[in-house]
Amino acid sequence: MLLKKPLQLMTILSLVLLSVVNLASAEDAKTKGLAIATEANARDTGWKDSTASMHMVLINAKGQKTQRELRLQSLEGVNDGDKSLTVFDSPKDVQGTAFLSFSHAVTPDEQWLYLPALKRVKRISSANKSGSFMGSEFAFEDLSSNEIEKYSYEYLRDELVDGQECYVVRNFPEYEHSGYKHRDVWIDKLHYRTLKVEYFDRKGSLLKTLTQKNFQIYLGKYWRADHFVMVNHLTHKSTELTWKDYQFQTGLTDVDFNCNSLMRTK
Amino acid sequence: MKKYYLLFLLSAMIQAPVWALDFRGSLGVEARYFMYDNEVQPSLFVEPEWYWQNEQSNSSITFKPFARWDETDQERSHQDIRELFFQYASDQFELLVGINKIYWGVTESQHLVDVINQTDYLEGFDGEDKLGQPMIQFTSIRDWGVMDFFVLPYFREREYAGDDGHFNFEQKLGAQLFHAQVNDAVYESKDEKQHLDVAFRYSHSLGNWDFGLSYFDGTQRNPYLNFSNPNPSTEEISITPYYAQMQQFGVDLQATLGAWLWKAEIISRSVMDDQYTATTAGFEYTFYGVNESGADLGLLFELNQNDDEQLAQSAAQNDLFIGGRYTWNDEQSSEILFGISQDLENASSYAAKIEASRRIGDNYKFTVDSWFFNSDSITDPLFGIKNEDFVQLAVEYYF
Repeated sequence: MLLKKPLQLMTILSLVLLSVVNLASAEDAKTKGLAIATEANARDTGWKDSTASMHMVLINAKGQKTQRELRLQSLEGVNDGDKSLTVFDSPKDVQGTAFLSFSHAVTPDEQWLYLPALKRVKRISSANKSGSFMGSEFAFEDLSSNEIEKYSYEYLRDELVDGQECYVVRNFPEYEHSGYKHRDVWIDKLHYRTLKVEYFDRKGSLLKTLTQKNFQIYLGKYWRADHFVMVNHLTHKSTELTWKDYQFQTGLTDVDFNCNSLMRTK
Repeated sequence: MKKYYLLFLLSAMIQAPVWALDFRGSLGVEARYFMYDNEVQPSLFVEPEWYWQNEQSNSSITFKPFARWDETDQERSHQDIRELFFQYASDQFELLVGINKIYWGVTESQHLVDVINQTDYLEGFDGEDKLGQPMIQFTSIRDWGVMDFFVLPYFREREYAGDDGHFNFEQKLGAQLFHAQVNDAVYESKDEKQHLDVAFRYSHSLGNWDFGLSYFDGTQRNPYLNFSNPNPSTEEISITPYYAQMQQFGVDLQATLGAWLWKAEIISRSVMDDQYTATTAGFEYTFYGVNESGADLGLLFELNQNDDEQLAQSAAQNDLFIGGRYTWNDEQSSEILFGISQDLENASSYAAKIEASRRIGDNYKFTVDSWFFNSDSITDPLFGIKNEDFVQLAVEYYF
């Protein structure tokens, strides 16, 4: 009896100790995850504005391809999310359709759509975060700007991607209407670029994998991938994005991102 | 001869001139099947667009003509300049001179505040298609909102379909079939088409709220139709359109709250010693991702009220509109929209529509539009078209 009690006490003590260690390491993982995300964000600050063209290829489970052409311009947000204006060049029936978005960290994004046939600007709901962008495997939330406050973070491990040492950081969405429980992001240790993202549905099972390749450096410090591939593991469909004609600091300002500039877009 | 002229016009349009920075547009074939008459009305249409912009990208010229050639109704064969304007844009203001289309408003079942352009009634009886309007538009863009000033120096009359066509006031009463003869329009203003109309709109967006305040003073776009039967021995109705002067204040409002879009349009109109208010208000709610492939289902609900008892020209005096929009979110952008406008005071009066569309390949789009009408009261604006139920198929090629 006497022996047993100290043993129990020991067990309890060690259990408490263990969970404290666990808690501490969980806290460490959160701190480290946030630190990595903050550093990646800091390295991509100061680009001011950019323009680019995007070629999108939708590939269905049978391998049949459908093409899309888009043009984008973006304005870096100061103490807020970025603004972006997207114009569709093809398919031709939606040519001239333009999409204006003011992204915000936690409050809902503001979005307008210009329909050239009706000459009508429609304010649209941004609650459709998990909806498909133009029938692609990219959801609206996958293409939204990365603000620190949008996620909470947890560092998982180190891992190699194509021979490059990476941090693997789990991101939990803090905004409403996300289609994901979390996403895991592979960030290379050298330049803090996102090389790979795995998206997990609300039940926690792997849904999609994004890989980003052919990184180019602009203005000597801003890295952009030329090639994105998003694979949906559930439907076996995939979407490839090829970026062209990236230009930075072209002199765009807030007046290039309002409903009037949206209507003038061709 | 007209056919060859159209073909020539078509080929000239497709060969873009060298100065055009951008050339785009569409051409298509359409067939409308009218169920009561068991009649098919085929037609061809084309709408090219040229766009030129200077190097500084602050000045541009847009030219967008439109033409339809109708096989059965010569009156429905028509051409229009939808857009032909010069625009200068700076950071704080825009100036537009020429012919253009202006859209105001937020609701779907009726467009009360949208009064700048004349309806192209030959294209569609539902008022969604518009004729180009000559205008000078000055726009001031500030942090506190956008102000638009319009001077509209020329009025476009509404055109009506011919005897061989549909939506032409032809009316079967008992055994008699009455044809309609549309006479020259009569104007309240002595300046007739040259009356100088003016309009103003202030619009702004504050957080989840988008709103507009508008004012219009000029020729009312929808005419009063004076029916007479000058020679009772003939089965011909004589119609004289009367264009009155009106002043209208309008408010349009939308609150975007998550998946809810709350919408309202309210007008107060003074016309012919009469003053009335009309309202369209309702919501659109979207269920996102209703199936595994990510389709969306939007539900629309709008109430239309109009307190003008004598002169209500719209079919929507006290109506409820219920609609649904199903969007597949697939590569072909497939979607289907259905809606019904039900008169709340007369159960037998309703108009229903189904619109569906799907892209074929990269450049073609296939659309099916169907309309069904019901009315048993001769004073109901829908009564005149109650036998015009139709299904319309169209294939459009975009270039």
